[in-house]
Amino acid sequence: MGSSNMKLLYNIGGAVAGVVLATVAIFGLIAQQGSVTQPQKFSSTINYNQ
Amino acid sequence: MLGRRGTGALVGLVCGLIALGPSLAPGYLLHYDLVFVPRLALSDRTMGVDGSVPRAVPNDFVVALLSHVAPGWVVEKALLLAVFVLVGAGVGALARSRTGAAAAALVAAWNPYVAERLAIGHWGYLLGYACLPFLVAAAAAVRTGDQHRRTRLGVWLLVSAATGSTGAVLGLIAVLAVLVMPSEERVSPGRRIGELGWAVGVFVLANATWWFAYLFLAPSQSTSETGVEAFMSRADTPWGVIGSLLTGGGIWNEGVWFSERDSLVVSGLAVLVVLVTLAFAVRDRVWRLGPALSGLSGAGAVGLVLAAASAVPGGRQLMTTVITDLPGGGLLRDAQKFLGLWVVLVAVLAGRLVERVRAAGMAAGAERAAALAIAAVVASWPVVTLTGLAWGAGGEWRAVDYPASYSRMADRVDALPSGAVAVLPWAPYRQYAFDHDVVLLDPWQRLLDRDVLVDDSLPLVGGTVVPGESPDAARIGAAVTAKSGLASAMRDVGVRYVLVQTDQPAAGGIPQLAAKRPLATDGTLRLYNLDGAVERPDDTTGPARYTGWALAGLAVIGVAGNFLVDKLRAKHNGY
Repeated sequence: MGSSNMKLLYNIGGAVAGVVLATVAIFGLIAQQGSVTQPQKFSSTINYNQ
Repeated sequence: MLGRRGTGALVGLVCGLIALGPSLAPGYLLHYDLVFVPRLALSDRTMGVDGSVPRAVPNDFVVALLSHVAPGWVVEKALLLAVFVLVGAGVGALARSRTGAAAAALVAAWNPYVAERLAIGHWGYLLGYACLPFLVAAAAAVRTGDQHRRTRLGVWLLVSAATGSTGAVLGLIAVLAVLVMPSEERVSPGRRIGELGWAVGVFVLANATWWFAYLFLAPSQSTSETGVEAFMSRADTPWGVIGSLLTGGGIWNEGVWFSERDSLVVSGLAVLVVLVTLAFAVRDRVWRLGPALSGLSGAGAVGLVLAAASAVPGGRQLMTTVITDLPGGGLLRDAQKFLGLWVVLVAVLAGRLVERVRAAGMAAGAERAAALAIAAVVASWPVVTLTGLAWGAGGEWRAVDYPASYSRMADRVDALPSGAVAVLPWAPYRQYAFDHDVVLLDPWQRLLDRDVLVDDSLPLVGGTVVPGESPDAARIGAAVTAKSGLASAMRDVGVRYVLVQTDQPAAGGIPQLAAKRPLATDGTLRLYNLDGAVERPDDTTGPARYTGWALAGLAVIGVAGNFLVDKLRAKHNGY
């Protein structure tokens, strides 16, 4: 494989990695936003792991 | 131009600023075990010599010292930011290039271990974690015979000891791993034993502040099996306990998990990157690349094994036996904390992976800027797989002020004649409106400059209650449950005053104190005097209780003495 092809492959690989990571980041942000809950306002017992 | 250490520190600082976000505003960040107060008293409790379990010793003592020169919230924010900067600088120095340093620092400062321990408020653990790369480097320097090597290692062992028992034990594991791992250099057995002796000696003396106190607690305050079960590592991803631990997560407390890790894709990417990182490390045989990487590989493996032990067949029973039956075994409870060693290893290896990506670009003829950009993209995986940490965990971590009534009540109590204070409702955790109703360890042990008795059991979702370790608290708890004999039970353990927080939920109701003498009412707080004779079987008096601190002083003198000897030798040799 020629050096120009290697360079192209590297750049494409980098771009794909960037797209994948950006997509996962957006996915994570959506997952995080979707899980936001109101804090427990009243319970007779406050648990350490609530 | 910044070097590797400076680059790592800068990346760590940026991570800290983004992670802490709004909580860096003036005021206190209060959640779970993260409790700071305006001015923590220098007392027997902060020194761990009051007969209670020395959980935050000597780190609370350090905070008490610092909070006499700066407000408590400034101390808190400085310590939290220090975690990020220190660990970034530490792993940066272990990298081969600034690119690797930046990538390693990003992993070390932005990962589920840091996020979850920060969310549960274990700042002392995190400071200990931040010391690990420095201890590894210092121990490696001892192996290679650098000048001032022992002094440097001694200083970092002292700093590590100041972060508390967990940080110190993590540090000892890292140091021992570096010192005992086989290497190619020829070193006499005498020198090797001397190096080990120095490290262990400084560790033992410097940490006497907490282990000495534990010696007198062990017979009566053992770790319960319920606690062992409750604090075992859990899967916070769909990839099981092992998959969760590999990526730095797996803390037992579901309340501090980050929701994006529940996604198969997001946590899957993290698992994949860690596995790729490990695969390249194995291919490179990193354990042969000098004492630092060799030792860190061993220490990281030990940390992972300890954290994962309860998830493998036979491991759970073994861990339970060790924790409940062996002296000091309680340190292995909440074993996920040992994962800090693994996370530092992954950070350093991830730095090498990013260096490899950049080198591959240069070898392929890519532009320098393009290779750097792609390396930066790959290096961003920790943030991509843990976006929830940004901006104070998505705005959940906020700075708040204690109500003015708290300061007034604290001053009022501190001005009263001697006698311990019990805090009601009898529960260890609170939810205050001023703190946005988040779960918080009762702050009155730190707000008051005297003995304060609070419930030290741990109620968990589902009804499980992990028993506390204080016999005095257990006695009061029994009286609260029985709804009789509370006042006499309190007096018997030295309680003269009762502080009632009327805004807090009480499972069994607040015991009736109308017959007791009210001393003050301020906002949501009521203070009562139990009157009558108060007994206190005082088994903690006498200067002998400061023996642990005297031993720690010897460690400081020993390290300082070694420094002076080094200086004199250097002068004598004409350096």
